[in-house]
Amino acid sequence: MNDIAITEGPLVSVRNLQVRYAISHAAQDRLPGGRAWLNAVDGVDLDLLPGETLGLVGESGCGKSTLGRALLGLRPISRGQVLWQGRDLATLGGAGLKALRRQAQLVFQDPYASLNPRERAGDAVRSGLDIHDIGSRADRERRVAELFELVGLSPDMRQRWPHEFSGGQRQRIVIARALALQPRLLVCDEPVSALDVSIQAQVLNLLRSLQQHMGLTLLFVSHNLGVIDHMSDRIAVMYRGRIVEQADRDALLRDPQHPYTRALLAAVPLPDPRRRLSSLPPPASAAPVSQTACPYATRCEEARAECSMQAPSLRPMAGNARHQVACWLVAA
Amino acid sequence: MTAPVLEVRNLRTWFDQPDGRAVRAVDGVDLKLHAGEVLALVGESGSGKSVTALSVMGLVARPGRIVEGNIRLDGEDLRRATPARLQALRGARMAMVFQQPRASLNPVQRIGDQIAEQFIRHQGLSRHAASARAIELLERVEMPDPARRARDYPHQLSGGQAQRVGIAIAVALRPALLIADEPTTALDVTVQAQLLRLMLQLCHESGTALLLVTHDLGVVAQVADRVAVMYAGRVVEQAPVTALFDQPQHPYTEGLIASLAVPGQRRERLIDIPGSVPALDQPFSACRFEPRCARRIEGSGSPCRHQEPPWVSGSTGAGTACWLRTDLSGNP
Repeated sequence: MNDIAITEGPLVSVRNLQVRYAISHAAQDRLPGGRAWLNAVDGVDLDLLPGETLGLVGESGCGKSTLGRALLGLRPISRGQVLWQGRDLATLGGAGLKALRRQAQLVFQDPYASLNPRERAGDAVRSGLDIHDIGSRADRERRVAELFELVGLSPDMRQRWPHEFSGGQRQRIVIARALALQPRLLVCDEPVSALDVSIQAQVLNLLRSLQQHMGLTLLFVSHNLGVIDHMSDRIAVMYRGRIVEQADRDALLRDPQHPYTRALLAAVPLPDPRRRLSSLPPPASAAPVSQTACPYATRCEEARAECSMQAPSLRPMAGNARHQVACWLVAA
Repeated sequence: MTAPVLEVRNLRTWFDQPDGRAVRAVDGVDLKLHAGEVLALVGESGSGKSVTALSVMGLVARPGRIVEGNIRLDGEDLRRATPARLQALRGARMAMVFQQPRASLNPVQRIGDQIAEQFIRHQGLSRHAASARAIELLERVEMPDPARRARDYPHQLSGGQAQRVGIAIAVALRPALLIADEPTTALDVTVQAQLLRLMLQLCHESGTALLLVTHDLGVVAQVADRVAVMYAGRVVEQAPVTALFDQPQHPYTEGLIASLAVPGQRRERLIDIPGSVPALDQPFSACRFEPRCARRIEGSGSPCRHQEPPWVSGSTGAGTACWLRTDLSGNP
């Protein structure tokens, strides 16, 4: 898969991307220097190769959802670029963006909030086909029936309202809607977090088989490392707007380099009664950081003097260019 | 063995519907909890675990009602207790930590005052003395800069800090029973680990029994001594934590453990539990898990399809409700 990707070049590239949100006056005094902006995404470089699944993992507020949305042109970019097969998103006009959105779709976290309660399930799935005026009315209906079957729902359910479905079924409808236009990229933002474990497994299995059969490229955003491991070819770890580590899945999980990645892995509660809470090292607490320091320095148990002087950039590790780490302690 | 702190017998809590039927959210639950013990009540949404917790606290409101059963706290029959008596017990002898930390605090009262209220109301301390105790408690729940933070309002706290306040209020009077309903579900994993450790430590210090309501089997494995698994209003399995994970007796427990995506243990497909939870507005005339069960006994004479399985006790408080664990003649 990666061989093909190298010859084709990335589907999407992100270069030094920054997305910032204005901060209310009330919240400003809680930030160092009284900054009026929060850099939700702060200098991110990322390549998404055709057919791969990149898992983006991090805690709430780290900027992972904002990054996923910026990729689709759904967040204003204050610096840097998002390149779609080499074309800068910022140079696309309305028609260009509309064309882009046939190729890129989003699956949201909360299946209760992402369907219009007054739109029948079949109509929701058909809406993309209507907007882009694809096929005759009969063609579209046929396509919607196919999509229902594809995601494991009976086509007879097309006339039902969202409230008549369970959470897992709703997420299947959202996935069917996202796939209607045969996109190349699916950004899945915590697609199973709102679902029960037994239902999570159903939806994850569905997403993975769809990805394999349709050759989809997936950006899979989650705070759950178990889910990320199950879905991803590569994993990027995000912390306070930056990617602090990125590697092939097994390399990242077996040989995590960044202290934050290690803390995150250590904190995941495993279903193993021999790994009791008391046997884990206590994590450090969070504190505000200055803009010039490594964003993790105040929490890092291994921080040295240089860590609070300058933020490290993402660099390939010695001997493994595919494993990249932003940490002064890791030899480049 | 000493008398249990909490004993729940054959609890049924139903919610009356406008059409005259009732949703049998809790449908015959038995639980026992001893001093210093951690019992995890596990199940998916709608399994009845939260309603069980609220029933114990005497916090079930119309249209919900306790239809049947016994609840004893330190031997005292809570179903016979007057509202005033329940009010006196809540906070002093039994207390609760909720899932949404900020939503469970008063938004317009300083957090120090909210904690101090426990001492004023239950112990008759002066406002001044109670405030000093509140600051001590904030320090015990590892709140940074407790004297200053005591003057904060809930909106000024992070989710993790707000939950520290929730825990401080709950443990203020060293209750015999602490019920924590998904206390860390809304929080990040590193914060989750800190708070679970804190709760365990505080309960250990005061001999408080902890009933931990959760859907997260990872958390269960880390902290529980014993586990009760609920499905569709009933406890389907109870066991010491190691036995539960090593040798689950009920096919539902087995399915739940197998459907988890665990980092570092990637499988091609996750085992899922097909289907979804049954409607609870009818009495069951078969095993309530039978439609989703991978191990149901097939054939027209199958007991799984004709009768609810009886509770079969195993060793040391373990047991399960499954026809596979009976001798199949119908006699447990």
